[in-house]
Amino acid sequence: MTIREALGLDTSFEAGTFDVAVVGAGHAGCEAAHAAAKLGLNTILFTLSLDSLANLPCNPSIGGTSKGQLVREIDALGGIMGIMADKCAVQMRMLNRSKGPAVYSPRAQEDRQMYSMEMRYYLENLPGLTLKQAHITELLTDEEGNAAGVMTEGKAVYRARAVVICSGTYMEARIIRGEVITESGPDGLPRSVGLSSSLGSLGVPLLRFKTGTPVRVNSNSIDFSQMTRQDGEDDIPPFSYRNEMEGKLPAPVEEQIPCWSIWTTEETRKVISDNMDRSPLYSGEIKGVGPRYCPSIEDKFMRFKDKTRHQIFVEPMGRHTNEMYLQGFSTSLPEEIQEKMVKSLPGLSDAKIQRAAYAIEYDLVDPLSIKASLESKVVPGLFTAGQINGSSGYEEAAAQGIVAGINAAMKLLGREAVIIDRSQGYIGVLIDDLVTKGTNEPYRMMTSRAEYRLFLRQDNADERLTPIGHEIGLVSDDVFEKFEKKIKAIESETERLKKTYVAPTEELGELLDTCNQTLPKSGESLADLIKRPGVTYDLLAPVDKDRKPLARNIKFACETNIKYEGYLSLEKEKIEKFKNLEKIRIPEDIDYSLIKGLRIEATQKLTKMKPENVGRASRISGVSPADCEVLLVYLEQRRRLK
Amino acid sequence: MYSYDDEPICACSTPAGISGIAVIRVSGNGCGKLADKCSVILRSSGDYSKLSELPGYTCAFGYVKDPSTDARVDEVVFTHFEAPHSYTGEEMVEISSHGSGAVKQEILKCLGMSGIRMAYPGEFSRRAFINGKMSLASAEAVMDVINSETERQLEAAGSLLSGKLADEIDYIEKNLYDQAAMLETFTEFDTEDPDEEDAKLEEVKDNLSDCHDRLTTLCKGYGKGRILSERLRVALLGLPNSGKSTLLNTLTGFDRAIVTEVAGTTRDTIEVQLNINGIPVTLIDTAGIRETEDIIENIGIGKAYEAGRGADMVFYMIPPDMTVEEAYTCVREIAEDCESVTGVFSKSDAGDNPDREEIEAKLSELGITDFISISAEEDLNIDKLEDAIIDYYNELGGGASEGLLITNSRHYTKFLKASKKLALALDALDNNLGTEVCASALRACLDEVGEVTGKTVSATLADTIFSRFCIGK
Repeated sequence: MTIREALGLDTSFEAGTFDVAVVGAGHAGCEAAHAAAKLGLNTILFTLSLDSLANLPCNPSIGGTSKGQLVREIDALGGIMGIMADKCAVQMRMLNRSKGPAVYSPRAQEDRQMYSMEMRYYLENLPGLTLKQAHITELLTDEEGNAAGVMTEGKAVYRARAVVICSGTYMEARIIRGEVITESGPDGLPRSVGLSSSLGSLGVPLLRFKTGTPVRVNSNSIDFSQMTRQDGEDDIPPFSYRNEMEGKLPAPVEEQIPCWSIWTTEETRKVISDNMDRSPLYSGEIKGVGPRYCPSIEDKFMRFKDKTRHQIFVEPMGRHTNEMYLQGFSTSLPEEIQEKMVKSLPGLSDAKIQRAAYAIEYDLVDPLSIKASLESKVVPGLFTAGQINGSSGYEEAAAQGIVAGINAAMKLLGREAVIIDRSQGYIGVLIDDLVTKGTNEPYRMMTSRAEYRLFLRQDNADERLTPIGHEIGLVSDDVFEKFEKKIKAIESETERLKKTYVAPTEELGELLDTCNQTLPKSGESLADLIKRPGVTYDLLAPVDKDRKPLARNIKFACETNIKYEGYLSLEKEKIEKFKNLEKIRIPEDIDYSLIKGLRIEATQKLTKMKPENVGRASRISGVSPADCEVLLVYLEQRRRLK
Repeated sequence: MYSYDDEPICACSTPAGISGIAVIRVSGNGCGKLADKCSVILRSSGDYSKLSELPGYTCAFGYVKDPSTDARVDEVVFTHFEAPHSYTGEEMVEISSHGSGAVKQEILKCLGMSGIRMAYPGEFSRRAFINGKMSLASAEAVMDVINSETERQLEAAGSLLSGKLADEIDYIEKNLYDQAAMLETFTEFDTEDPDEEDAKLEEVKDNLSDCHDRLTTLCKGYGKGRILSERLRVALLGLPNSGKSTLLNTLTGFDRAIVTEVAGTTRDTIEVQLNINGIPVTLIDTAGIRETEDIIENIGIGKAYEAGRGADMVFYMIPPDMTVEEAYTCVREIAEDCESVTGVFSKSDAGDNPDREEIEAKLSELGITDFISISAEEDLNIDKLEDAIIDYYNELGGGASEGLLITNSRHYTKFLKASKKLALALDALDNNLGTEVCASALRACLDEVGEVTGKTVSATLADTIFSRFCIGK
């Protein structure tokens, strides 16, 4: 519908004019609105319920493997998720400590309600941002088909030069528990009706996915003595670099709330297998595609028959509630069966379920119709972020949100789109995967999706992205200055470690002995010593007399860079090759059918996908290396003709 | 997958098959310095000792050597081109070599070991075009070539990788993917049960070591594979009239070489091809080695040394009247360059060499430890020489069976790189650097294997993970 048509409707009215309109105030919408407003654009953020802004409708946690990296990247770019997650954490841990530093991942249990309130309060105070509770049913365009505004259910017409839609799992959502199907959004909230058909009528291709969430139980009804306690940690970096630079640490462990873990029992397995015929997944009632990595408990038992038990975590939902979340126990079986399933678990025989589990189906946009800037290829000026693009998870949503907000702003400011590539961050991997490969299930970030994982660490997200954030204008000069100091400190300390030699004294021998290393025959540099298995920066303190006291993150960075040098350089080589192709742009007006030598399949795929550069073209399935060679020659031919 | 970079590349530019000479082209800035590692300049106008120092458009005579062993591969003429004055517009080296398939493959292998990769179809032309060395009119022709050549290469690759070899590579690749998937799940998710994980990691380690052994065996087999397609070269070396030609005639069964009682009859080298127990062998009879004033014979002797150095095996003839001194000086020159020299006490029908024990002791200083006593006239112990050839062949490639031989130098380079990266991956596990570090090197290894099999890592890996493991949040 065009603005003109909308204003011609009975009872419609002009409700306001903005630069950017953001629809949906989940994690994507909040980051998008924040970025756009911060960049000086007059922004409005719509939500179906202001009381559920930045809701955590599923797991009450933020971070985890690869997701923790995403949060730190968002923070390095100047986003807000890290600050909020630090503020509202009730427990923090660094996952994967037993593994290498590339996959250390911060993870926090969050106070769900506090998170929502803190975020709302912060956004309410943000200059340039207007919050509005309303149900958006139409995307409006100008006469040329560019996004030009939105209309509410009540026919209020808001004009905007760019529209960012972050509809989460709300568009035409259905909640399913066994045979009972309810037209509703998640967490008992109203669903969004009409917006997806508005997008469809503009030619935006749509898909339908499903996901699910487990039951919540009152902690008073739980016997924790049958569970394994899992405490948090306090001696770890916060999510936000801004907090880290000020030396802020998570709350002491005593003030954190523990989590608990249990295993399913034989009884659980029996209840599920006896009632599989009542699962909507197996009866065919659910048509949406579910995620393979986050399967429902019945899915786990059905698909992995050799596993007789599965681990379940019992996690707090906040400080002012007894509600506990059963992670790993999501299901779409009927409520009656859910009761039996929960009661079969250790410590939960008397459990009082406060909220039942459910599966939810929703509409989304086929991400193959989106550019890497997150602007639609179909409707110029329309940006999408989060689950509407086929992803899953709060962190994945927020990561796209900040990129969509930035690029909506860049477009209006007449500046070039900001694209983070695969070698710069998980954000880049996430968006590139979605827009070049597409997805047929909710896409979850995993570290194995990143080719340059050793570089994309939680400790160096600032090194990778803060200069970009500063350049855009999201990172303040003050923060940037502190960041530069940190980088200089890492560089000079690494240099010193390489140049400082230690004599093979008895003292050194004793230190090395603790990690089964032998004393070198002659002097060895501190860097070479650190390269030995088991030797750490801290271990060498007694023999490193000139050492100055340094912040933990600086020591950590130096140690990591030195210890993994050989492996990092393997990846560095790959990154250089990768960048070569990424640099070669493909003009938007290219006509692939004119290129002699391209195979037909490649011509079709390239025409459909319109990749921005040759690197992205090379990752499209059906485009061969030879096709890329041909494309390169053609681009050169074209360049010379001009 | 391949990259559109400007890293140095090489390929044989003359048509496949045997020809008089062949031209191998190397292109890419910095390629001269890399080629220095596998080249030796003997003569050039000016006093240049390195290929990379040659000014543009100048030639030098020298030889290509194996950078790992320094063994001489072939005498060649090098031509150096400086950027942008070359076919591709980049720094280039052209190597004019002898035209046999073996020589070409061996040179490409040496270039590969020096860090120069094999070119993809049409890559030279593509670079020439991008660098403005070809007219616009040729662009379409270039594009045609790229795709048609790729099809042809794919066909060729299909036939190169067939039967047992394809099965073996398939096995290795699958196994590596399984281990990669296992490592990914360890990396991705916090441990449910540390003891179980340790046990599984041990399993991963065992499997990776097994794959590493298999890859190494395949690489070793490249030498053997080459021999199957290019023949085993066995040179007969010794003083004039020490019985070389008689032995040749006995081995081949007819009078191929001229056998006379006058010392120094064989002035050139003579090559005879025969089959010993199914092994294709080229037997080379050389001029006798001794100081001589005869110019023609001197040339022959030079060739004899050369044949000795270029051969896989040398039979060094020690007649009954040879002194310890003679035996030592004559063989010293080639002993270092040839990996297998067997001392042959010839003409045993005319009596034993009185200094035999002393000669054996002296020659063992040069690494020669195998000795056989024969009489070609009386057909005595000739079968032992044949056994020595068979043993030599069987030891190549660590006993890989016949179907498992790599004959293609590009495959060889890829598998060699893959096995090095796999070794790094194993190191990471041994040193407890973290599963993700091991996984990173393993991916790099799979990238190399994938360049032979055509699989890309990321897509395959994700599928393996999802199909094998139950992944919760």
